[in-house]
Amino acid sequence: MIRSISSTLPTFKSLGFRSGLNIILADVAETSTDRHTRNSAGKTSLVEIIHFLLGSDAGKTSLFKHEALIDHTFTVELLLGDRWIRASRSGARDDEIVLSSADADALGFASAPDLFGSSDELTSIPLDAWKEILGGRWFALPAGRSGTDFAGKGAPSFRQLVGYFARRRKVGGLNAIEKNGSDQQPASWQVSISYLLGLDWRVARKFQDMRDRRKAISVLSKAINDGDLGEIFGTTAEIRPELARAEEQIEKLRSQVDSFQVHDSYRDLASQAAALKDSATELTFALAEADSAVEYITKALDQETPPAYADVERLYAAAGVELPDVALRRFDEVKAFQASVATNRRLYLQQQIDEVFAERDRLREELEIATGKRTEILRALDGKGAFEDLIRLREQFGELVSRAETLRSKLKHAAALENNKALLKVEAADLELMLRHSHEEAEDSIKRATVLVDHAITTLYDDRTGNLIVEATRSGPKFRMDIQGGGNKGGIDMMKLFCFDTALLRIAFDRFAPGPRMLVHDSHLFDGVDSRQVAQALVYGMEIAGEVGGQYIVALNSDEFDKAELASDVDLKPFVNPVKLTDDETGGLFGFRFDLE
Amino acid sequence: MILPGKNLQSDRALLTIGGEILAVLDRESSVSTIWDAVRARRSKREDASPLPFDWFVLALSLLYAIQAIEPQGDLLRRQTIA
Repeated sequence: MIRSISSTLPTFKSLGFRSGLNIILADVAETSTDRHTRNSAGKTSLVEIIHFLLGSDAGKTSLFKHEALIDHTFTVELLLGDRWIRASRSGARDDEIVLSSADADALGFASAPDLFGSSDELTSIPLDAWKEILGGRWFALPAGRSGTDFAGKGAPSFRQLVGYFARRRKVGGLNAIEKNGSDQQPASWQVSISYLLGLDWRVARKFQDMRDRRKAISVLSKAINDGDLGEIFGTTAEIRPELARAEEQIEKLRSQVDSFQVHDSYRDLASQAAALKDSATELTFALAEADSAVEYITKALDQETPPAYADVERLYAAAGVELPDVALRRFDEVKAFQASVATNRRLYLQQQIDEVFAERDRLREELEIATGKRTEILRALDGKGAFEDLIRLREQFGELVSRAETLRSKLKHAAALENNKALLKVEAADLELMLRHSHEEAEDSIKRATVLVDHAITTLYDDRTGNLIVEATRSGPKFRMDIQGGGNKGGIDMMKLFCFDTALLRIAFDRFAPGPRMLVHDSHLFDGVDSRQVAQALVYGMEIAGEVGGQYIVALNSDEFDKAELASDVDLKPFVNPVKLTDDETGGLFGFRFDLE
Repeated sequence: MILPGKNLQSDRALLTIGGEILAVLDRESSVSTIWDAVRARRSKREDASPLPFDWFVLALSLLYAIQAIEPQGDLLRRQTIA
């Protein structure tokens, strides 16, 4: 509930509010042209100021950052619990709220000791702390969020909730009952409305988790399909055989490494074995040569027979005949000589053959030693290897293991991605079911809301019926309202907002005891609405305000008010605020006119 | 047998072979050395007749008988004409 709004701006038209119905009227000046519309009187600005003081963001294009307003402070008096609090904020220092120290104390903010007993002392508190106080007092939001269901993103917040109690046309807050701004995301309105109506907002929040995941997956899938990440990911079908290959190689290498025995002088011994093999080959050749020498000499021994005795006699006789003038040695001398020659040759051959035999024996022995030594070395090295070989094997093994690890994690990711798509569908169905259950459990809350809306509709329209429909859908809770004959953003659609908002005001009072106890509508909510319904709405708003001990603040154009007054059974004049706004140079809320983009 | 004749080719005649022996016997040599050298020498001639060992020994005996060579221990050498 708000008692007053004021400003340090000297021309500002301070406004006081009472409980119950408050009507702020804007007059049409005679000189109004199309350019000077009544909107410049400040009806919309009133909603903006209220939000500014309730902690709305004040960006660069904000009204309060306008050079004519930035240095001025705006102040609201509002009811928190049973205490009226004065809170001030300026565009220049929009990140803090200024309270009187006494108020700050009462709200639990320690202030500097008031030595002089002055009540003028002021205390600044951060804007976030202010929103937290308001959220706690008006909507029972917890002060500290960590450790509660409100921790993490997507929980109800004061700013989202309060948007429904003073809809801002500027941000498209009059377009749909469930949204207080045209760019409000489903995550926000599903949670906010669920919270306000008393449904399980945690279930509603889960839908956003799912939307986030679905989005992430679709982005990833797209990237993979487009090939950006194709090399990193691949499909499970592509990765599996690669992994199988790697694992098989790992097993092979593992058994090699496990059975590997290091021989310290493997390299030396291996080259020795090679040298021994070479010399064995040479020895074998030499042996073959010796064998053929033996064969040759044996053959010579066989074939080289000395001449027969008769031949010597024949020779001697022939020499005497054919060489008559030559002196010959005696026959027995010649015979002896010939015998010695033959013996000499035989002895020589025998000696030769003995030498070759000896050589052959030596070669054989050498060959035996060489092959024996080689066999011994090979036996020692059997199944073993050099230390370097083991290191190399281990390196290969390590590389393979890490490759397999990479593949496994790739596979996991790919599988997760592929499964996620399927899982999401299942989860969406589960979540829908969970939402349905939660709505069944909150049947009383839903019934209360539908009854209130139904009541509002029948109050406004004698001849129409309508319903608030709360649906549990696959994409989360949906809220819509059917009024027979509605549609096309006509008057009836605007009255849907009215019916919904008044229901929220009433429910918030019950649920948050007492809740904001305040509903603000600017004249645009009544654009195109029949005067009869305007009158009924004002009276109904007053009724609800009365029920909650709060207020219904409406800004209206004076001509619309006059028509509504005529159509009304109740005298509405007593509820008109004494401050009237006009759209001439000084008649607006700020008392002067300035251009806004 | 000693001299070449109607039934004996000249390179089969013992005196011819003896000549060949003296040609390779430039220093004291063993029987086997002379035998190898003579065979090597004959193998260079294409139309040489085969030379059996016993015929070679007969040629040596002839050279000895006519005092063209003389033994020197196990070796043989040419006999210098006094």
